[in-house]
Amino acid sequence: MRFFKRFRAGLFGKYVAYFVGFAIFVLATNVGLDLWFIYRETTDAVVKLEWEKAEAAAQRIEQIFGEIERQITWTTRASANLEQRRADYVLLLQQVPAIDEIMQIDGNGRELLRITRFSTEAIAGTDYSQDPRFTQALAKRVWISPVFFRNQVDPYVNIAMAHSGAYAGVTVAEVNLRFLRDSISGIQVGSEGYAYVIGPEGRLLAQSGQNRIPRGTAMSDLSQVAAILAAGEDKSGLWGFGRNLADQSVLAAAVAIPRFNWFVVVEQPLSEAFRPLYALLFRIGWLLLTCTILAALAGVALAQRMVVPIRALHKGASQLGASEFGTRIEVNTGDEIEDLANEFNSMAGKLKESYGRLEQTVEERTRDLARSVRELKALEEIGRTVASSLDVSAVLATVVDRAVELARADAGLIFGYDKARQVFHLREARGLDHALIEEASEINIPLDSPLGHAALAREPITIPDLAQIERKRMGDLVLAAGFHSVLTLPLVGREDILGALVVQRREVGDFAPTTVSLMQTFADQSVIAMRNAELFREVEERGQQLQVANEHKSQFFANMSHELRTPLNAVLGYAELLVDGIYGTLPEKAVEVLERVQANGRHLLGLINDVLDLSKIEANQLTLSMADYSMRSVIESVLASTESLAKAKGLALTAEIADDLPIGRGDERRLAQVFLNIVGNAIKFTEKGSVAIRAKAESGAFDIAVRDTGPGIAPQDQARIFDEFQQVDASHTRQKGGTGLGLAIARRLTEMHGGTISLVSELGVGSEFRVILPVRAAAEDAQS
Amino acid sequence: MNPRILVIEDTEDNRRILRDLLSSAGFDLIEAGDGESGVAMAAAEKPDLILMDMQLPIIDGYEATRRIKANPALKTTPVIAVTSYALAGDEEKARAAGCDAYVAKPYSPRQLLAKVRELLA
Repeated sequence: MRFFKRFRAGLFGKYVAYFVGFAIFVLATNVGLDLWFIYRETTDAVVKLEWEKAEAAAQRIEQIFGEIERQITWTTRASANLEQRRADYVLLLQQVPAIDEIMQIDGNGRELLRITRFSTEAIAGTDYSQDPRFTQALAKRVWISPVFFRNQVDPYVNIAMAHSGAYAGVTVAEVNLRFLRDSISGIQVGSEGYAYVIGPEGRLLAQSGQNRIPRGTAMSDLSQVAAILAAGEDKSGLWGFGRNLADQSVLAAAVAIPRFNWFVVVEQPLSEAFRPLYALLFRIGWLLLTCTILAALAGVALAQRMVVPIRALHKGASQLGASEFGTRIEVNTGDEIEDLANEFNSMAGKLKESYGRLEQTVEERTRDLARSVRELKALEEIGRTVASSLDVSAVLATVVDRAVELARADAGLIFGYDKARQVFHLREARGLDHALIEEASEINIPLDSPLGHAALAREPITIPDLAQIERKRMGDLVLAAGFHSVLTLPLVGREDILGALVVQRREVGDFAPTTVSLMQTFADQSVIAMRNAELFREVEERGQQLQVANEHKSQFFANMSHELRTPLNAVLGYAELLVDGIYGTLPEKAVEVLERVQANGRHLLGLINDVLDLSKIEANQLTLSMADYSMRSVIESVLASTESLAKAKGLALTAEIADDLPIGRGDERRLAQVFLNIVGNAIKFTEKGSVAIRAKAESGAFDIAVRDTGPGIAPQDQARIFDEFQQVDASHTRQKGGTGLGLAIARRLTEMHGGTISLVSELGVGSEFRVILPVRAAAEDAQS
Repeated sequence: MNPRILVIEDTEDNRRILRDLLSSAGFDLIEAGDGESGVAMAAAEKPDLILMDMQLPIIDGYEATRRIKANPALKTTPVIAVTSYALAGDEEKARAAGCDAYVAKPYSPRQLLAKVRELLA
């Protein structure tokens, strides 16, 4: 929407602005040129009028001066006497009102006579011989003095004129310039124009009109007067703009009176001089305004005509952009914009068409995808069931459920195969009513059937319409239930037949290849489930057999032990009784033999015990009786049982037991067996020297070392002496007795307590067996 | 009067060894070959001590011991268990059944004699 507004404002505004701008430009140019010419003409006319008036005034002033001079000349002819002269002067004063005073200077420069208009003065005899009025008049005959002011405001000039004849003297007339006012008062330029006369240095001599500016005022500050004073030799054509003392803008024109270097200036205020021009300007202003408004209106109208269809185009394009492909743009301008709208409309049509196609494609793809997802989910479910359940029926039920769903079938069945009877029989069914399932369950389908053919060929078989083929009992049953098309998938292992998966539809027709391949996957999963179940059954069976066998073995060992010990018990018992002389005294030789019988018997008993222990350990049947025990008493019991042996061999048997041994937890009898074994071995293999036991506890473990001074064990033998039936030298066994199982059992018992047994040995020096045993053995081995 | 010892033992050889050993040591002996007759004989003869094999026909030594100990007249009569099952737990099992001592086969006649004397002291 925002864009739309901007568009409208922009184009609309531009149209109007261009239109109005153009109109104003044309008008303004025209009016500007007109104004310029009118201004020039007006200015020229005013200046020309002013010049004419000024010129007239200037001539009049010159004429007046000419007249005054002529009158004075008349008095200067050579008169005979002073009285005559006085009468002449009086007459002159009467005839020429401009002259206020007249005086005669004699040939020597002395004042002879002075007559003023207002009083008669006596001859003063003043000496004027050096005065310019005297000297200049003598030199030039007639001399007019510069203007001078009486009372600062009344301008005067002296006119000095030499008398005829030698030493005749000079007449000096003092002329009041008041008359200048009369000579310019008649000047009329418009109603507000006026004239004035300025002397040298720009001082005002006279003025016309209503102005009340004192004579003598210096006018040279005004720009137009300054320009006039500054004019050079050529004093014609002087005019200019300026401001008068009333601060009005004026148009001034001046004419010079060259004889006195005076100027007659005529001025007219611009407000009057340019009044027609201003009126014109006002009219033109109105015209401009009117034209502008008209142009603006025309611009708006035109812009509307242009912009409305464009706006319609824009709106249509926007709707198209918002996927409203039904939009049609109505523009009937009959020009390019209508063509454009038509193009838009046809584009919209095409877009609608392709969008429709696209939507259809997307819908199809979505449908495909959803189907794939459903299939994957079903497969995942089946796979999960297969993996997590060994109940083959549960798996087959899931398979047949999903198969019916995803094949869009009306019913699904899974058949098992009886290898012995070579027949298929129903295992799972969906979409069939109860009676039908019961009836179908009783049917044994032979190999010569679609099921059998599919299984033998290891390929799916599709029957598009059951009614069109030869049928047996099952076929009739299914057709009667209203099913026509049947897809049969064999369930076959690598070599054997396991059954078949069947999906059925009521309508006639083929199954899509994708459906067939999906069902094939289902069939494969069913095979895996069946195989798994079979394998599991086998494993379970084997396990049971194994357990039974193991129990037999344990029982066998227990019995064996009992059976072997009972007679041995008798042998040893009788032998001891004989040796003890219960049955009478025996010859010494016989006693010796009996003792050997006893020794061999005990050895046999030891063998039996060791084999029994080891077999129990191997079968994980030896359990530890966990209880608190004292390591000190364990070692002391070992010492007690071995002391006599060591003594008999002349060996020193010592024990160094730390005082602070903690109370241990473990099987005391088995631990005693371990140490008895190690100490017994040490004594057995040591010929001379000592066997030393050292016991201490460190960081939660007993540390028991048994050191002997025996022959030592070669490095290559050290690792294997803990293995079963290993002794360093086979000859030792015969020589020393022992089963070779003792250290293996000791190691196993130690390990069952969570401990370790290790060996450090050097040939010819001795051996040290070391048992590290947790003080508190873990209870995990205490199974009973 | 010599102390009387009842030997309940199914093996003739073992019975004889005990008989020869104990008679020569000055004890009177009565013998039974199975658990059931052993229990009956104990009740009838009231021996001073009983040597009980654990592996017996008809009823085993544990059951026989329980029955003997259940008889108030025999409650204080010492019973020594003699077993060839030298296994973990055997001794506990025998003591639980009421046996006062435990000897594993094969025993040394001398050690057995010492045990008998100890219990009769």
